[in-house]
Amino acid sequence: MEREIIKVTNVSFGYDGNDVLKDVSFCAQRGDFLCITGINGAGKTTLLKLLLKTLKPSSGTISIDYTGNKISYVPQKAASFNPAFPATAAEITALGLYPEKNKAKIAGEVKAALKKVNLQGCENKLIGKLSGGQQQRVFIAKALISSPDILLLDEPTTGIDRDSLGDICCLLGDINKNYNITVLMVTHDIASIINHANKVLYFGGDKVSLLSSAQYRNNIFHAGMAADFTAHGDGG
Amino acid sequence: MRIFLYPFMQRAIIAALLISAALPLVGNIVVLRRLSPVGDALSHGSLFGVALGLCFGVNPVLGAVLATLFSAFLLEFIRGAFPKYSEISTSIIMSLGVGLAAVLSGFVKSRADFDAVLFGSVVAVSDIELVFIFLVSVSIALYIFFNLNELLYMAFDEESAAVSGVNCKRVNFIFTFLLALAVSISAKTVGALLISTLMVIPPACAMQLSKSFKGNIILSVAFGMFFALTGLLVSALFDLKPGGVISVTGVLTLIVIILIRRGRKI
Ligand SMILES: Nc1ncnc2c1ncn2[C@@H]1O[C@H](COP(=O)(O)OP(=O)(O)OP(=O)(O)O)[C@@H](O)[C@H]1O
Ligand SMILES: [Mg+2]
Repeated sequence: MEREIIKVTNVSFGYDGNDVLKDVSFCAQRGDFLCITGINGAGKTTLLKLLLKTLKPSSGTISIDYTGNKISYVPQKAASFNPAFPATAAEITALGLYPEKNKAKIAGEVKAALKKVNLQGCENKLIGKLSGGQQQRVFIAKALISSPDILLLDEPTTGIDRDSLGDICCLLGDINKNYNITVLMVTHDIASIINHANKVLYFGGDKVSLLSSAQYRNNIFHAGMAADFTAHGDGG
Repeated sequence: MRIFLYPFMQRAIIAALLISAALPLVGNIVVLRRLSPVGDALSHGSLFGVALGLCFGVNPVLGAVLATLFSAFLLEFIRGAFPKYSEISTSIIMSLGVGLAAVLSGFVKSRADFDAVLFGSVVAVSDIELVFIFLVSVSIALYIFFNLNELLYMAFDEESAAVSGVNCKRVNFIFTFLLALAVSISAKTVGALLISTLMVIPPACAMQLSKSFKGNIILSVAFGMFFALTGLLVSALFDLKPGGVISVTGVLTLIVIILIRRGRKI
């Protein structure tokens, strides 16, 4: 049977007393591809940080099935580093193995991870000299290199052109299927990824609801553009 | 060339080589963290220490070490309040250092000591100072060698580094400590006003050429040593101030590198 790998129960959180998340509950099963979507400032990034335990909920519980499960994270604006930063794709990817010190092991794993994201041969290129899509794939490789069970991505497709966008979405879909990694991905461009996802966590109005992709397609994506609009109007 | 047979000149060369390796090592990290002016800020802090030492009869080098450490930790404290606006913290420390040094300089009797610290007097390095320079340089080299991953990770993305389990607070603390020591040992040798030269120009030259983070570090040390040796040699031959010549050599080299790279692209 499928097991719940992430279980969030009645979680609330606010910065300096301003509520951001109120009574949020949802579960993810091993192997899920869960999209997280909703308006700016709804608390999506905050939710990821709670899952990573860099923030603590003010009430409620988050349980992650930790039997050997590792979480990797690709932060929002990962690619907004200084383009003159003197580090190679391999050096950045290797950071994902921290604190591993064994040079031979690191070199082997870096090669394998860059191959997984179709960047073989780019090991020694400076990160700033790669295209936006390639850079984003380096960050995905950095997240994959530690063989995680859960991969959290915060808007990995922002600022990426249409062609690379399709590539990255397919890549994430393959990672989810081939390596059985549970993926949670925050995105504003749900149309591109919905075919690879099986669930959607929707931050709409003042509540957070978990839907299957089919439900989301039928109820929100088609009918709900107007709803998104009203949410924009009174949110902020 | 007879001059290189004198012990004081040999001490000067060893001191210059050690410092010109240590400053680019810390400088690399400082530059990548967008803190380039930190060398200037801290060396002005060290001026205050020197002034304090000269006023109250404490060894000026000791005064410089204490004042620089104080300035460095105050700087980190202010930087914490303005993440991503590092230059605010460096400007504040710089003005504080200059201000305090100016207030105290009125009480300093011998200008010569003060000038020595402003522009450096590498040929006046004593044995004990040389030992101190050696210990600090070796500590810096060892620390950076064994913590390269942490330093790269934090320079690239401090938040992710923390998520991956890098103890950022500890790394910042030790790095700040070593940075302050590097600045204070260099003040009397290359001169407080020229510390930034060896901290920023070698990494800047390296960034124009390097193909990796490790390459950047090695190359910047090589540039630093090259500037220092050239500076000493030229200044000995023409009887000039070594610190000044080191600085001019560095800037000229950087300009040549940039021009050559432009030339290739066109
Ligand atoms: N460090 C912080 N301190 C105080 N408030 C914060 C902080 N980070 C976020 N917030 C606030 O919390 C709310 C949720 O922010 P969060 O970044 O989680 O939104 P998001 O859904 O990821 O938005 P976006 O789609 O723009 O990335 C926002 O109103 C924001 O102003
Ligand atoms: Mg966000």
